[in-house]
Parts: sequence; C-alpha cells; structure tokens
Amino acid sequence: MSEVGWYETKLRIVAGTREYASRIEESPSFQILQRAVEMVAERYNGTITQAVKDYFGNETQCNLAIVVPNFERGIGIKIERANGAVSFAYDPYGGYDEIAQELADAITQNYTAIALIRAMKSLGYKVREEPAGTGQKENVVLIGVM
Amino acid sequence: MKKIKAEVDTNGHLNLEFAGFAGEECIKERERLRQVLVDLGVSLTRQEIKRKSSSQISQELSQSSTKRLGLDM
Repeated sequence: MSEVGWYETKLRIVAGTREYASRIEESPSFQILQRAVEMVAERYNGTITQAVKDYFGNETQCNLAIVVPNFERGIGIKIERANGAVSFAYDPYGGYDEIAQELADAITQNYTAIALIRAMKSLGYKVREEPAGTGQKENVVLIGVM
Repeated sequence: MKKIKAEVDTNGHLNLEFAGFAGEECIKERERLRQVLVDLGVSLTRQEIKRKSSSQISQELSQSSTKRLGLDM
C-alpha cells in the first residue's frame, strides 16, 4: 500500500536528560537549528547574533538571532530548556509583521527540510532536492529513493 | 524502487508521498520516518492521509520492477 499524507510540523530541540538539557547547544537538533538559521542569514544577507531589540532599543537575549538589513531589530529564537520548545521573539511594531513572519517561516522550513534529509538518509534512502519553483515563497521538495 | 517524496511549504506544512511500497510496508515506513523526525526535533500532526488506489499501487510496483530489470542488464 502506498499513500499521500499531509501534516503540520512543530519544532522542538530534543534533549534526553536533565543534564543534557543544560547543554542543549550540543544536541543534534540544535545543530540543525543553527544550520537552518545560517541558511536564512545567507539568503537574506543577514547577521547571526544572540540578541534582538525592540522598538525602544531594549535588548533581549536569545539562543540564536538574525538581524537582516530590512529588519534591524532582528528575530530571535528562544529554547525552553525544560522541554526544548522553540519560539520566535521579535517586535513587529511599525509594519514589520510580514518580514518577521517570513524569517520565522523560512527557519522552520529549513529546519524541517534538513531534518527530513537526515531522517531519510538514516533509513537508507538516497536523497536529492528537486528544483524549487520561482518566487520568494517557495516549497522545498525532497525525493528519497531506495 | 521505493520512493518518498517530501514537500515542505513555507507555513510549516509537510506533504509526504510514499510510492512503491507493498502491503502494510508503507505504514511501517511512515512510522519509522516519523520516529526519526521526532528524535531530530520535528513533531508531525497528521491532517489527512489518502491511501492510493490499487491500480496506482500496481502501476508503481510494475514500474519499479521494470527499472530493476533494466539495471540488472
């Protein structure tokens, strides 16, 4: 039997034990997150930092953050050490909702795609990426063959 | 040939298509993939699953046989 399925994805940095959670930056899922953030930074000509600013210039520390030329306050990623939950932190006041959401979506999409490549490879599939469509908001298509 | 096509959109939705799997193999493979993804930090909430028709499956399986035969030659 073969099938087609649609799913919603949610990210969580996986840490096995309480001790491990205290060093969450060393977990494989944090490394995927870091790579996903790097890819977005490259695409948007941004810089990776560990803090974001609000409208008033107040700084908030994050596990990772990206500052891009058209959103200099930046978008931050916070990881809840108790359960690995990932959330995005930014101040969209003044018309920055769209770019902030676009950056958050791009990070989530990259993370999911990287995790899928690793998952399929670990199951023995040869994985390739199909050419993406045109336009800014595009889907990532991966083919795993065994 | 077994094939998984994964399409990730910009809103956090994932479409997974399994092709070339016989019988219950597909369900087992989906569960294996889901588990590895969970271990890597991606949890999936199922929205909809459509089983392919018998004719689609037969076509996929015969295509894979033909391909294997070609490679053996």
